[in-house]
Amino acid sequence: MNVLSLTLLGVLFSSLLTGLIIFFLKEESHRLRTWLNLLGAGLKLVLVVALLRGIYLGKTYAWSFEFLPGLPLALGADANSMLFVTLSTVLWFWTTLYAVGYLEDSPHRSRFFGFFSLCVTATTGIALSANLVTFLIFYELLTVSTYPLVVHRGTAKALQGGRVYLTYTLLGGAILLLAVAWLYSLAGPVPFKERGAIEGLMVSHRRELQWLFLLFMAGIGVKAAIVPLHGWLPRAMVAPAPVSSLLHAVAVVKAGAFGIVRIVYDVYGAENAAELGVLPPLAIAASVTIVYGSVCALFQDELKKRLAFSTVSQVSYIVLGTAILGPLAAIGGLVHLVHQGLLKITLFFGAGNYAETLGIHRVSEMNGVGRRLPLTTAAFTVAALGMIGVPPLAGYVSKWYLSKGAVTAGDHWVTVVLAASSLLNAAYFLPILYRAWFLPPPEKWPAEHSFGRWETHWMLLAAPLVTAALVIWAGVFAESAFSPLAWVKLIAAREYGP
Amino acid sequence: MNVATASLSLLAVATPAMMAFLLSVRPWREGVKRATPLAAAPALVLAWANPAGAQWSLPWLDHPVLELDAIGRVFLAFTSVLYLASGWYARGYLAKDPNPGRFYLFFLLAMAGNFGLILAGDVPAFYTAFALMGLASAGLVFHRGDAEAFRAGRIYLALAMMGEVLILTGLVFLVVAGDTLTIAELHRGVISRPALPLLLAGFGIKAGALTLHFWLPLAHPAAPVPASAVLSGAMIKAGLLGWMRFLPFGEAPLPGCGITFIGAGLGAAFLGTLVGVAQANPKTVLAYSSISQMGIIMTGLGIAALRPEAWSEILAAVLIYATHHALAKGSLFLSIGPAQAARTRLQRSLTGLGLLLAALALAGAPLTSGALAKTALKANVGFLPEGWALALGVLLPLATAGTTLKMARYLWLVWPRPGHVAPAAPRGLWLPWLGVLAAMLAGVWLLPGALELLPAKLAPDKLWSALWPLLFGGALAALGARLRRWFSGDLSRWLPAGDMGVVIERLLERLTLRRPRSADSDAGRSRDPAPAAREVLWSAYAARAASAVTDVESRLRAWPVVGVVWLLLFGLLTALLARAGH
Repeated sequence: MNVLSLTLLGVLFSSLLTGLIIFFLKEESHRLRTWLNLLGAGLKLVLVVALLRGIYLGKTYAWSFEFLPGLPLALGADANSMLFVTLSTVLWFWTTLYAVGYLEDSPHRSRFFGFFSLCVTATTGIALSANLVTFLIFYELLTVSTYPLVVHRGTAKALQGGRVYLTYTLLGGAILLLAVAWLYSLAGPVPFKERGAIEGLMVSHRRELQWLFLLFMAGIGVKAAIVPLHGWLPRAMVAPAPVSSLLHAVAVVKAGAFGIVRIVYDVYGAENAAELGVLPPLAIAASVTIVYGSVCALFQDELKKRLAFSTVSQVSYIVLGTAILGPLAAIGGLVHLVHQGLLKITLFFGAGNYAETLGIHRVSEMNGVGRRLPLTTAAFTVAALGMIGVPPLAGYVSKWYLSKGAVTAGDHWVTVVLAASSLLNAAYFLPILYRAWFLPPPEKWPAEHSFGRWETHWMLLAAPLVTAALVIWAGVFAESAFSPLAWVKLIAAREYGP
Repeated sequence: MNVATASLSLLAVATPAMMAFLLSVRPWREGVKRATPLAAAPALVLAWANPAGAQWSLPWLDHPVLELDAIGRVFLAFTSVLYLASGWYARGYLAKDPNPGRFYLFFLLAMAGNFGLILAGDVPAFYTAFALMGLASAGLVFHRGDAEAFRAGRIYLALAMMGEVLILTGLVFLVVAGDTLTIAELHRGVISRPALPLLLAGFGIKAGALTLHFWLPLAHPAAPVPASAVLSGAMIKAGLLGWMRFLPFGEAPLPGCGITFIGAGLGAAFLGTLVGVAQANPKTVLAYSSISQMGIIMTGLGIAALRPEAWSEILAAVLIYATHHALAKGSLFLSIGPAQAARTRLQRSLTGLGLLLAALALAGAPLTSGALAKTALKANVGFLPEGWALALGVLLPLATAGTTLKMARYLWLVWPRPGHVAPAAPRGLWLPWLGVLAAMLAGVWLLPGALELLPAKLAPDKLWSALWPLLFGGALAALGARLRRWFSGDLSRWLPAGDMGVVIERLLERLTLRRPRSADSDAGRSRDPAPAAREVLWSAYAARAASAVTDVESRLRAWPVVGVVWLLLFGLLTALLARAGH
């Protein structure tokens, strides 16, 4: 074992150990827990930056361990996994800070933060898995470690939401297990490889590969919330705001989308998948999801529910980009993995601030919140405009590359889907912004808390401001060398390049 | 690249943007508000000095992001004059406004967007600036905050978003076909056919092209006067500029585009007159006049689309026409304040004179900028086959007669009358208005090719051809005034502002909700149900639709349904796979 693979394990253990220690902390040791949390998150961030640099310079990181004969547990870092690791690590740091502020004085914080850390560990594991079997293990771990967070409040509604979440994801997991086992019987543990690892089966097992693809998509599609497998997501929004952020932006939905990317690019290979004819149905499923999610979002008065349906719609951009052949669409889809994360987490932080500071949960109560919480609402506005695809924000960059990819590939109909989605996004976000900025505030907010100097607790304010700044950065500096887009171009070049 | 000129082109766009940002810093707010007109100064200096190599780029890009070219220079000149004057005017006009900070914020952002799209050198910069201007001007339309402004703003925003989506899609097609982001290089190669209708319609919304125009007579009057002036004078030209930048004029004949332009242009010119003269709100009359005038410009573009060889001449004519219309329309809008505030005899005569000058110019009276613009444009009719040329030779002067009619209507509505009790005159409205008026009188002659046209204009037959539509329109106006004695109803009841838009609105409401009988018999802007009732209507609709969708959603979520859907999907995909397998 060398230094390089130690870094890899360090990324994983920085949050695992934190989580395990926190379980044993007393509920009252608030300060210690906060420091441990931030220390773990900070350490992970440093390690990820080191890893990023290494990958960029062309170093290879790998670690494997045969835990059963013929079943190696393998970790590795490539450009693709670093995209997801970096996203979840950066967002985890800010979500942790936010959660500390959000859950101040609420019960069961040790349990909460323990599972919180485990959840991120599982996500990191998913990103760093180097073969399908490892991926499957971490994928199931994620399901298990998220459930306690969804039901954290312990109310009947929360328990019900949790039950729905568990049924959906366990079922998805079972289908995924079936698919992995089937493919294992054909090709062994299937290490992830750019341009695919199943080249040898293309001629001999064509039909099996097509069925397998369907199973993979059905299994992973639950977490990625592809219609009609999306039902758990709007219900899981009963969880506290930091958990929603985690579900929607950092871990769960992202793990689903990332899984689909992995299967298409690194198990099948985009060219092979196109050859098998499985990409067009995937593109259609993604398009249906994009439009359906937006239409549902239009009619939700509950803010977090509207955001949840918006996630259903937006995550399928990633799937759509993957399903269209060619480097440009791939760039658009992959970069949306990061962009959607930044946008949606900002929106959920905003929704959390409205709930925690003013007791606002519904869109119809949001009149004039811009006057009471100007900075939060400014961050919320930036993210909402970004979702619509207003330039020069992050969402616009994704949409630009997706449309360009679709036109280049000759799939002109995709531009109609994207245009419709933009309009629907505008239809459900702009009225919120109008209410927030133009309508007069009510005499009295539903449940107002005062936090002294700032409009709300500083931890609740810092997180959305930072993520909103990242949204602007990802858009304005998209074409520079330091941006999510630049990294994604590296991945696309490796998948599609000469 | 020269550092000084590069920074000047950046400064032109960045100054208003920075000032908008500084508005949020409380101690600086008052200062920024006072300095708002100065935000347009760098742009004006840039347009005036026209330094060589005025371009700016981001360090990591290999093409210019901002660049000043010959077309951009003309647009920048009249746009910056209008923003400077309107910003100045706003200081007086909004003296009693409850929320001036919000107005200045959106005004400055719209200014940054407008300058940015003129100077844009690459496609993303253009689209970014265009979207900024479009969204920021929604803030200006909403600003007044009453029911009418809300309705106008909502309709505007819906169409603006639609326009932006169309434009983005069109631009993607262009960029893929041309394989470049630089605007100047887009048309070096192939023409992307799918892009043409998308851009035609997308920019058509901003330019108020026929069938996409109906937001305009609602939104322009809803905004405060200084905002209406830039909306109707400057921002409407963004649509025109978009066409000029992104349609392949002068490259290849585009029959579809050409016929659409001419048809929609002439249609707009006449529809604008028909509905415009019926309006009782002077600002609405001006908005309809803008629709007509843009229609006439579109006719010119149509000729260029049919005859690529005519492009260089038509380009010069379009630039003259755009400058003329921007300044004349700006000055007409800005005259509303002084006309309302005129109390002494001197003030009344002065505003009367100014009003008359601008109205005559717009109507194209001999020797005015309008006559110059119309001569320049009409000269190109000869590029068309004989039948077309003949038809346009008759229709264009008739459109001019229509303009005269609308101007007469406008003058009648705003003419300062003795005995009219004016509210205390806000100070600082006169100078900016007179400034734009002076720019209108002088500015057009500075444009390339303008002075050469002068001798031709003085020929007797040309004088006559400029004069008869004016006289004809004047006679119609006099006749109309006579008829009004017998018929004293409110015409705008039958031809409400927003014409088609009102029909669409009604249709939508009818489709979604059976309205009470009494509300059905209403017509027109002034007779709308009370805003509260309308809100109730909409929320009832929203509730019904919401319950429909959530019903479907909860049924979908029920396990048996999910299962059945699954099986269906499975079957469908199997079928697909079976086909793919063969």
